[in-house]
Amino acid sequence: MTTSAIKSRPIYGSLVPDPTGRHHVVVGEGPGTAPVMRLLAAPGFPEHPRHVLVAPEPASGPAGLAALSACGVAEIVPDGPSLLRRLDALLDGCRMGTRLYAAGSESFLGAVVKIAAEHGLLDDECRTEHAGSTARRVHCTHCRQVNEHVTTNLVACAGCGRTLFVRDHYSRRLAAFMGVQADAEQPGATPALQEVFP
Amino acid sequence: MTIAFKPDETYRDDFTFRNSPAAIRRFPFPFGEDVYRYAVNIEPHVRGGPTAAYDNLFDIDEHYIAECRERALVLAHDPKRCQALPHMMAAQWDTLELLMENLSTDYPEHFSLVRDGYAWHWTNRALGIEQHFVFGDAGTLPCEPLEYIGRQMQGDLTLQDQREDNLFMDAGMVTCQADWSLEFDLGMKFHEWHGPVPLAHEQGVFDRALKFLLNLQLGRPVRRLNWTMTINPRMDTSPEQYPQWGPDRTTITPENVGSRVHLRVELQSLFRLPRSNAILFGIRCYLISLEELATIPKWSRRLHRVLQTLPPELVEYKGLSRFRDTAIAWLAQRDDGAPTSVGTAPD
Amino acid sequence: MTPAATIPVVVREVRPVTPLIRRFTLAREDGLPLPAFSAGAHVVVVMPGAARTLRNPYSLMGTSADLSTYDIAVRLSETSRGGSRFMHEAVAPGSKLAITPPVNLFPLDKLARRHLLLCGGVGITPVSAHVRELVHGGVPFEVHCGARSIEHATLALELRAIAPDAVAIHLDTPGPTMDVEAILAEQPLGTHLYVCGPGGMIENVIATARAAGWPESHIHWERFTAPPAGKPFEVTLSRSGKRITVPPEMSLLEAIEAAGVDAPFLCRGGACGQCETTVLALDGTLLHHDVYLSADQKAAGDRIMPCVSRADCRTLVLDR
Repeated sequence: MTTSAIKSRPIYGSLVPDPTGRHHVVVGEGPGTAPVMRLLAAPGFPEHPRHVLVAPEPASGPAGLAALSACGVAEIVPDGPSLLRRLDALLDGCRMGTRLYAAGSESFLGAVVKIAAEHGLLDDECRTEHAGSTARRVHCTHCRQVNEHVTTNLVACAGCGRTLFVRDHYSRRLAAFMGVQADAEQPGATPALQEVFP
Repeated sequence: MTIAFKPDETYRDDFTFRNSPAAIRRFPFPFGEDVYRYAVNIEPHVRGGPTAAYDNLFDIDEHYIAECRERALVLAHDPKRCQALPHMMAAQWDTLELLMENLSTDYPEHFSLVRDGYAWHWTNRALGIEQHFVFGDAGTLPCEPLEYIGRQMQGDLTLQDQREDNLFMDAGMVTCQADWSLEFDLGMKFHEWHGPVPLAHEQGVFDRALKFLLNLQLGRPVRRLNWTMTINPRMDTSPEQYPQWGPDRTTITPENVGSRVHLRVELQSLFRLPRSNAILFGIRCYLISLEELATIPKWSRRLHRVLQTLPPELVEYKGLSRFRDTAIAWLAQRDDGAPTSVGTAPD
Repeated sequence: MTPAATIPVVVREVRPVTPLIRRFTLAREDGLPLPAFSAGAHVVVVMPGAARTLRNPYSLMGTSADLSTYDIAVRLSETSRGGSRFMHEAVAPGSKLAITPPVNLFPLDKLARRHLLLCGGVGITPVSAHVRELVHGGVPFEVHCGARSIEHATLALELRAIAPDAVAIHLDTPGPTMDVEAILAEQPLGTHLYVCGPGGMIENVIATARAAGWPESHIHWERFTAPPAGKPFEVTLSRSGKRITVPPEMSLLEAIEAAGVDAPFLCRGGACGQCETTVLALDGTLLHHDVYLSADQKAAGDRIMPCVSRADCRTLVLDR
């Protein structure tokens, strides 16, 4: 779930067909595979032109892959980074009228939206659905290290070792939340550690 | 009028920054009444106001040289305090032109600008700078135009691109901010960079402010005041440097509160820029210790009453929790309950 | 915000451009440089008409490279309410006018990866400034100018001389006319579309773009709507305590101004929202002609854009 109270965070919705589009590019990573399959089966979602890229969870197995091709997934790629490279190349050849749909972790969505923006796509051309863990990418404001997959309100920065408090402030440019030293005022006086982004 | 600068003041380590009696009287005191009330309080940024700080569109005071040196120290330690996305070059030149025109017109003893077409000659006598350059050709300056002129200004600058019926903070030079980060906020939309501000979103404050700013007109700048409180006369209270200034908040005692707790006021101004259609946001920061403030009894009385009525969310957001009570107790001794006069000007 | 202080200007030159369009070169009366501006900006020209002051918006055609003068082009409107006729018939070199500082409601998107500009008739004027800016940048662009015939295409020919590879001219006679669908069909991602021209052309281009899947964020247009005439009606201005009659040929905003009441404005075409005014009481119907208020806001009847909208009413009280 996402918290709408965070004004700087993108609002993720659920993937539904955008009938105003003329060409549809769909990408999903890991737990984002399920929303992608749901979108492909949705009434009114055109067979073509569309292009579907999925990096399924490693545990999907042959049956999972068969299910993916059965519902029209054109390309299955091994992992998120290769998917992002494929997406980048794919968008190079796309025309105005394209709609982009993405489902997966917040880190994945952040990376997809950044690539989309580099191709000139704006918010009304992109649909996103958050799936799976709510873990955050956290940017350390002191040393600028990005800490991946943070599930707790506090995280020891991999760059400078400070205990960071994860603020509810999100930068699309950095695709990360803000981390600021938790005990700067009184060393050691940190709030209790809680898993808040499972 | 020649300003008597105090070039050796510091904003760090031994904190020798002080306000002269004249500087105290020109302080832009922000509270117009005896209770805290949130207001967008945007008004035309015209010359003249309650104190001399409003006499010019860009205010230079006795701290100019010291503040420029402090800014250079911050930038040397962290060059990312000045950043501009590539599409902001026209807005950078607009900013340089606006600032050079105003400074040279308003303070001719200290600054001069001679233009021959695009061949410009800039002199900053206060900082001992002389520069011949070609307006529009960044290669003729030692650094990009925003950084060049920003290093010669008191206060922070951000540049907002206007597109998609929104404003995007796509450039800035930010070295004396109140706990926000340019590196983190760069590229954000209006509501995004204001995200952390409590209460105001729900009141629709930012919707109205954005609508207003999208139609901001050339030659008709506007201003507003914002405030918080800072321990020591420290300019750089950025999140980046929080490990350095955060501990200060635990050091306040009844004995030192008067000299160490400072009211920090930002005179914020907004200008439409001509060639880029961008908006320049100037954030000019003024610091005054409670002891200095109390030399104007009206101001210490009123600050006492405002701090007592501040909503808890704002106490927390402004980072006052650890020392507000101590400050209120100190100010209470200087509040005889007498009525205060209308407006913000000193009596 | 009240209207900006105007700048006194003197007309330096008047040149016929086409059978219907004249170009006016304006300089400041005091000889100082005019304000710099961005491509797509307009000024409102204030004309001392015989019966009343006329105010019309006109796009600036040049660039900020030379600020000694501004160039505007004025098409003589068959249905002129006075402004374009005044410019064509009463203004000559040496005439004195006033202008507002430039305002840009039709800027280029600075993050566009490609610019596609379509214009028809006198709608070429903001595009003239856009092209002069784009030739100095690294972003690809493509311009399509529509005109009745070659003698109406002088400004388009000027643009083609500046950017021969980027500017196409489409003439109604002998044809073929602009094939909007074909132009929009194969544009790469990140293209921004700009259209300026007669109302019908703008509507057609927007509809074609939407049908081709273009999202609203990539479609930009500017339309200088002349305020439509209508039946006269009476208005009470509550703040200034005045009661005025809006004649058939005058807009509500013009009637408010004529009564000596300062009212804010920027575009005078129902697009920018600056003149939005609260309706305090109404017995009748508001005739909304703007594109600023949403359908819901128009239906609510509690606000009006006086630059283009009118009322059919027995009573109208405005907070002005």
